[in-house]
Amino acid sequence: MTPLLGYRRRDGRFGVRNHVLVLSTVTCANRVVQRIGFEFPEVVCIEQAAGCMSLDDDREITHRMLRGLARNPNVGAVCFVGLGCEQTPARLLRDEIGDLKPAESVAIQSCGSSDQAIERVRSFVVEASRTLAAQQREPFDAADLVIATKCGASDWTSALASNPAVGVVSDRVVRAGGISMMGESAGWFGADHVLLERARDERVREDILRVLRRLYDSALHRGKRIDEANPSPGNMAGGLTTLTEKALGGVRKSGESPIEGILAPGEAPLGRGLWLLDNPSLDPASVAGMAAAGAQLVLFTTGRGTPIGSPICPVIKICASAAGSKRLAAHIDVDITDIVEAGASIASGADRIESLMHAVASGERTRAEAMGHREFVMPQVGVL
Amino acid sequence: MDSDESAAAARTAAAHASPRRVLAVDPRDNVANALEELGAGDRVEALGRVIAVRTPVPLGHKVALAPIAAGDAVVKYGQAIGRASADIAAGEHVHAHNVASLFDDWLSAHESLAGRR
Repeated sequence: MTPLLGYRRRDGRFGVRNHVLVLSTVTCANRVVQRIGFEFPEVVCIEQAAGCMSLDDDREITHRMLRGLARNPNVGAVCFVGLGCEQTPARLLRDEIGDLKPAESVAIQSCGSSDQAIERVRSFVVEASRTLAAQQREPFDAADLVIATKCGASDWTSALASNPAVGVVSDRVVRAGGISMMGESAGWFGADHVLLERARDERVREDILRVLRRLYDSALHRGKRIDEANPSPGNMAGGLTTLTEKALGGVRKSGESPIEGILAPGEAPLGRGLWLLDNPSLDPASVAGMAAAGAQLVLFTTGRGTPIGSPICPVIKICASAAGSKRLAAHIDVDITDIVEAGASIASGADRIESLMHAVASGERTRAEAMGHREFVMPQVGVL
Repeated sequence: MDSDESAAAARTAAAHASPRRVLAVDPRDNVANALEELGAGDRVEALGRVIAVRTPVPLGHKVALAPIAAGDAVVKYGQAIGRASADIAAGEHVHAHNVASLFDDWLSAHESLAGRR
């Protein structure tokens, strides 16, 4: 196995990438962030679809998410860019980063024009890029790995092969003392009893139930049932019969480790082990939640194939479907179709995933990174 | 023997020669996933059982490894994924036409636990 090599942060964590992040805090600042992106393609620039005029629950999510993204260990330096009158001021976010990493805030209203704001962001980016370029990777221990597991564009092979293989890797990370996270709370209905049985204690159990109850009720308030779109017609055609069957296949990517707790979007794990994330199932919103929770990288299983990536985390695509691997071969990092096609073991699939995971953690680029996939959606209360 | 019959005979012979591929995940399961399309008369082996397929089963769909009486649990991953809505014979296709969701049970089972908001 490749030794793990990462960028040491001041809080003792390790980044597997060394990004300069330019983060818009509100739509009004997007143009500034965009222009920096055109000028410095290697700088990670994230725009916002909203960021203001939100009710308090969404405002809190946005605040925690922005802070969490900036705190992610893959981010070596961060510049928050705001307008100046938005709900979550860039200056406040910058102050919350403290001296964890080089950080700056720019508010357009304090600069005189967006051009002048761009000039200030540019100075920071040039300086920060120089600082980060001088930093070397250092060996780090498997106990300092922080991964997240995700499935998307799934088919029947996800449940039978790729999710169980990722579950084995997740358990190995947890056993080594690291952190693993699984999101997509709306996808747990039908398999919630499996998660509840693995809850560390009664309080965690109640926390999981509270999240599920809230999702169930919010659908009910709109006159909907959480199971009415699930399984989808495509799932049914692919052989998934019930919501329970679909959910049981999905949660297998969390392995069998005890569950330490459940986190709201933008919250970070409070200790080692396996954590649940109460975040949306929409792939880019889910992965954004994982990045904000501090994931260094994401293990992403797919059956039909999907190109999506993340601005912050390498996203490793794992596919056990012969059809999917062929259809979107250019986007698959780990092909484990032999589990389904030739009777290879789940453990052998896990070995290959783990091996690539170590290489990616130490700098090897994923397909999504090589192709510039940086999809991002801010989780919101109304997004399932 | 016309060509249809000879094709069927060849297919039967092939079926006897090598079982079609299915995958059962957990020893408690009473269904297995078809790793290739199954036709009536095909033979499948899973969890130490040899089953004659009775109805066509599309790729990725489930075939019953044992008889499942109406009302009994359909078990996959060692978990009940639904309940049989009709008697299902070993070797039959198991899907929405003969399986009902347990989701309503979920709600009633959790009502008392999750009632405090």
